[in-house]
Amino acid sequence: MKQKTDVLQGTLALMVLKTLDVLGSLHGYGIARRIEQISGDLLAVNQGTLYPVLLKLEQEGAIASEWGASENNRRARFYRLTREGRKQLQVETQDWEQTAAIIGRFFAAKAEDLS
Amino acid sequence: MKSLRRFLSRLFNLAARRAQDERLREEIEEHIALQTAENLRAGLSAVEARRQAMLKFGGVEAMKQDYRAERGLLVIEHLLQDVRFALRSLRRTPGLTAFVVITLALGIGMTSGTFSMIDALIFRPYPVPHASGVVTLVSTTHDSSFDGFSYREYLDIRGKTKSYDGLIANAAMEAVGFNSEPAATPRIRGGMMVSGNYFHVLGVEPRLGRGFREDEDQVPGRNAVVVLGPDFWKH
Repeated sequence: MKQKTDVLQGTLALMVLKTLDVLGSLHGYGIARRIEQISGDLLAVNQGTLYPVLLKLEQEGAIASEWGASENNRRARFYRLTREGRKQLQVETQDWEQTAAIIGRFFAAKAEDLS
Repeated sequence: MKSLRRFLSRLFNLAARRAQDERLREEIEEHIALQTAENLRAGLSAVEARRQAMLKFGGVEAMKQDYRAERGLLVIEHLLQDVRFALRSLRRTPGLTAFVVITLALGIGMTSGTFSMIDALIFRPYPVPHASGVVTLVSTTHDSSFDGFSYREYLDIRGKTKSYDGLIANAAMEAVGFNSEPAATPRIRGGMMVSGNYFHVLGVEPRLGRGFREDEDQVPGRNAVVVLGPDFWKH
């Protein structure tokens, strides 16, 4: 169970980085919306789990945040990618693609390929 | 590097805990407000829109705990909580607290008092040059193995001794009344009667003024000479 949430947190963090990379500065709700739109049900419940992830990323220096006005003209915290975050995103994207490719090959392998 | 950075920022957050809680509260509120607006646009009633928004956000308290765990140094935060809890419990039982505090105070005071006395008397060398060369002569009598000498005995020993560079005499430290004005009420100070060669033999010279002169203890009953300690002299 614990491990599952760790994995979830890791993927969530990567999604946050990618979202900010593509869309620039966004507030928490905006990030949640984008992730929901693209990933489907990952954040359909518990959108709140996003905030600890945002905090962790900010503490690591991958993202920065500042106050701004939201679309309904209230104070909202806007997050943006830092240069370090962009680097981290690159590295982690590569890692993911590599892992996904390896796992993909394993699943694609048939009995005759292995003999 | 990353973990160091996280540690530092957590350390900082520990201090700014209130502001951070406030920030999270505001963010949650804004998030739910935006989701509610979205739900309203989708055609839900006002009440239902907000309810759905909150459902979608998920358990706020559980999330706040995750957030705090992520933010601060939980060990220190818990320690502070424990300390605060302990203080509250102490305040609830003032009688017991007072009893315990007094017991501890007396216990610690007595042992540290005894120790500092023994420390000053035994462990610390005399504040003189060649402290290791200073010995104390005592006389033994039928009743006591630790007795003093009379002044005449002292003069005899001093006159005949070849083993020591010099021999000084002092009476026990006792309370003496002092005041700079003759009419005013004297203040009680610790004082000691010593022989005239006291400072000379010990090799200690006053920073200001002078010690006793050799001739100042030659004539019995002559005006007494006093050397003041710096603390006493300053006040």
